[in-house]
Amino acid sequence: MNVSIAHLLFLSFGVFCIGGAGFLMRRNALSLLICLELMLSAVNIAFVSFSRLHQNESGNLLYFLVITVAACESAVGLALILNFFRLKKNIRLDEATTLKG
Amino acid sequence: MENSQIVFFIFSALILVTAGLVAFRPRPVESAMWLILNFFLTAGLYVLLGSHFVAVIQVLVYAGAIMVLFVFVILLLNLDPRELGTDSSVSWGSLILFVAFLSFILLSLHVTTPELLEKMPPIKAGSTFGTVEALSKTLLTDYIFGFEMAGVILLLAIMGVGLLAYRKINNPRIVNGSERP
Repeated sequence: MNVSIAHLLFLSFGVFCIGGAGFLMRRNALSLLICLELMLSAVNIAFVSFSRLHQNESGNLLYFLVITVAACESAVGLALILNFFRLKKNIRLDEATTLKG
Repeated sequence: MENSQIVFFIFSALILVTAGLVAFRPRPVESAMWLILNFFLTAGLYVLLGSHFVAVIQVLVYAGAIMVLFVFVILLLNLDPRELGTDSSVSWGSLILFVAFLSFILLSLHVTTPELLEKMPPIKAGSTFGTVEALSKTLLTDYIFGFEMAGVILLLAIMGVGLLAYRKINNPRIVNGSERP
């Protein structure tokens, strides 16, 4: 692999920015969770790149911890979305205002 | 330019394009499909980086298990566009300002730390980097506490999902998940 760490970090950063922009702009809960997965995937690219740079397995292990958290987050998030849909019959986040003071 | 560089640039361009499609396609099912393709391309990138086991896990767990959960929920909800709501938009001025500010920061980083742009050293001959053996050795010796914590987090998530999905069927006061006053 004949590229520098900077290239890989730019790639990771670009994917993270795209995911973050999607996260801020989308207005339905499912797309929001999907964009969150994209951001976590971008972080994974950075971890694995640093692991390759130092030829050390720690980055790869952090990858496993991140996908654990991603799996938990998507499971809980999707359960929340299903409950929200049962309550409101849509998944528009603008209508999730029950907790507004 | 060498072969591996060309392959890397093709992969990263495709990853960025599919990421854009994931973030900005209007329907969630399209987003999910593009995200699966994005995960496969990322797995290809991990193969290029030499972390073969991580690439396998990316395909099996991420593109397999997690995305199946997403697609399952999308199909279960069966939403029409009216129920999705309209997305907010961003003004071009703030976007250009953001990109300009960012490129200024990245350019100054380039100027101040040129060693970031050096090529990565090749994997030494006989190195066990990226193999299941080396990974599991590190996981079960140096990071055993993190490993156990991951198990606890998964258990907590299962309990939370069970709690969220639980509802009493024979209670007449609960209709459609909400309590009648």
